Amino acid sequence: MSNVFEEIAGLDKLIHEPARLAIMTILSTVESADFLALQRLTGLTSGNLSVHLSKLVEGKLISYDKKIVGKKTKTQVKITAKGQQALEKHWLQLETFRANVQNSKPE
Amino acid sequence: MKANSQTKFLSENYSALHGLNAVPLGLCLFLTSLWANVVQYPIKNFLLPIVLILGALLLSLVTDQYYKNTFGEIRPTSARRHFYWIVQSIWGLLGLVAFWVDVTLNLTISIIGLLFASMFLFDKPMVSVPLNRFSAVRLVASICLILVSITPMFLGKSWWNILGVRTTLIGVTMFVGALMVLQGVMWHIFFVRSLPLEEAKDE
Repeated sequence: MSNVFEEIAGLDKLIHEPARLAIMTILSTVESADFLALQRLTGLTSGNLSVHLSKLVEGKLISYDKKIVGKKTKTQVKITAKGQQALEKHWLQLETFRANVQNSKPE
Repeated sequence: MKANSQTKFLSENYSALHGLNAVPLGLCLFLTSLWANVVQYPIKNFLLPIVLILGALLLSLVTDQYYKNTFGEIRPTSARRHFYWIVQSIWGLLGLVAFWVDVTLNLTISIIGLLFASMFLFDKPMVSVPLNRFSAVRLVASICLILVSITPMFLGKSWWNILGVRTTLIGVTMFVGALMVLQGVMWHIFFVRSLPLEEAKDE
């Protein structure tokens, strides 16, 4: 059973946080998404979304491109190759963790 | 925060779920068919259908801007974009063939109606194949359209005249237009309701 807890501790906390996992999941299925679409799909406030995006950019899991269109700033967000790999690894870890919990017996 | 599978479905099909995009085309089809039903033959003035087409194009631009400004923009993967264009081109070609068949051959069923019925089911396969409320609307619309398309087989070719409609082709295209508008509005409501309403206040 202790291995299971080690696996939990080994999860990438940058991705594991629900809002960031949602952002990463969205970006993994598309070429790019703008800030407003991410806000609509996650239900986050613009402030919270900005904080999560900054953390993901710091971790080099996503990249973004800011453009000024008319009087508005348009932010296009993309997942990086590193981000895609990290997300796939994270899902694999969660699936392994789930399988291990189901198979493990109390000592 | 919505379930992961729902978030994935919404992001993958984001622009496809923008139901109001179907409204201008549906309105144009309905009103043009209505015009074809009341106009004096031989037709001498095509101003009204031209105005209707231009109006539909303008309304399409307005709808597109509404979605961009209210719900943002998602660029699908290039594979999905190519797939979409190939599918749309095939439907376009099939539409021309079906129109030609309906106009030149005197069949007891409406081929264009049956084609639109299949379009309702398969033109957006990523959305309409898994069973959900979006596909349920399309399925009901498709069944209604199949029934309407085959009615001349049972009620005779001139049964549309009872409703004041000149031909099966006009009757079917009017019905298709109305269905497109209805389906578009319903998809828009479903799309808006699928998005998370409450914003998270804390991280």
